[in-house]
Amino acid sequence: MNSRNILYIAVSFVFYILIQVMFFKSLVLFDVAFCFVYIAFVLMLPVQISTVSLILAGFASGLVIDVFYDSLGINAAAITFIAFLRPVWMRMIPPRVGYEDVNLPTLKTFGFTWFMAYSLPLIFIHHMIIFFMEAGGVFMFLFTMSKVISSTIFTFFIVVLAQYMFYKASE
Amino acid sequence: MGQLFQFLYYYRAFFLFLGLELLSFWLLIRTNPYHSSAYFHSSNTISGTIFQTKSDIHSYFELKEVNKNLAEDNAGLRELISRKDQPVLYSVQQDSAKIPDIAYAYDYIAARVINNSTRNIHNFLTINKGKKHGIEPGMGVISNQGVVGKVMSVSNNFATIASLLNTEMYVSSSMKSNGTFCTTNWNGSDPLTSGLLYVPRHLQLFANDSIVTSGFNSVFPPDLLIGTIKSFEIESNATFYKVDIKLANDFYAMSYVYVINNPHREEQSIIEQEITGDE
Repeated sequence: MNSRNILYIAVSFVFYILIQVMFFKSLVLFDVAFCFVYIAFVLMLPVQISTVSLILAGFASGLVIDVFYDSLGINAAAITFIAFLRPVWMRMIPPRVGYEDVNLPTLKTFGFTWFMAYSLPLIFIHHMIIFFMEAGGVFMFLFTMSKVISSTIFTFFIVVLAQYMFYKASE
Repeated sequence: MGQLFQFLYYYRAFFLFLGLELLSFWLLIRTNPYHSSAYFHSSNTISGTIFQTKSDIHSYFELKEVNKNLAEDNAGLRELISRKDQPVLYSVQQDSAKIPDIAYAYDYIAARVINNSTRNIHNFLTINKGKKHGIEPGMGVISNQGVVGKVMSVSNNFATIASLLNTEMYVSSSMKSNGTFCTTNWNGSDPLTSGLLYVPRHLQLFANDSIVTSGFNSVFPPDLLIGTIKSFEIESNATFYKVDIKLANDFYAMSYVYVINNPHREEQSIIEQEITGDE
């Protein structure tokens, strides 16, 4: 991990936390679609990062989000699980060009199909954990499920949008 | 021993993951919506300042709505004053309800809402007044329309409020028409509607009947509007009605609130606790 990567991680951490709490916290569509765009911070950490650093970075971002959302523990638990799952999931869906010589797993590097296969399931699992933990169980199953599905679509859309706006293909 | 360390080191990522997950769950379980420290809530200095900045920008866009509310509030107060001036009515009030002065000894602290949520299961507000302005955990919060919630944690300049839209908030209430004691508790889905618990079946209910605070605890003074009955039904063998009430407050558009400071709050809650302790 070189100093450029550390700077990148610090900047994207602040960037994602700020847009999450300043903008997306109050943007809820149709009362059910929430956007947890900060998951892209974990998704966009360098490919070669060690699992330990990945989990620690994920946990830190979740904890900060929880403070702003007054939902202590929920986002931290969900994003830590995603950070733990990410290397396993990446090994299961190797892209055609391979992960060698690639710094960030961006959409423009690996193509839309791979990026969707990479991010959509992780976003879905993340949202499942968040909303079912918040509801404290499955007693409002359909209502919670509608939140999970609509929010997954919303978050995925914003994450893809951010890919086109802020990331370029890895050299 | 060496092998054990090797094993731990080999699976360090997994153990780290496990440890952090346990920590998250502990934080989640430990947190209750009443009385907790400010560090991990939106009332801490950093998040408070960020929300304040956001609200400073945002507040220009809702000036019109705020003005309208304040004007309505003023009109209501004016009406109250003019009613007080009518000597006959005033004397009737004095005679029929002999409430000692102590019941009216509440202070109100005005504050601006700088952060609000309505669509979660546990919703909270953050306001721009804190310990420095005399706010303490456990105080009640109202707006000009009705009950808002209860202060949960405070820092020097900010406070977090558990809103009525929080499934763990129970507000002691009563029906305006017959004074029946009941409890308001949100069911977690619709931000405009709340549930009403423990309404016994022998009562005759009417739609649009007002639900007000009971004043049976030290948080809220009596007769503050919570909402009006929207619909009710009772199953043939149930003891209590299933009642939905339309909340008086529009939680989507919350801009200014009043925190209620009851000088006798501590005294009252100590006595109440002593009683429940004896049972």
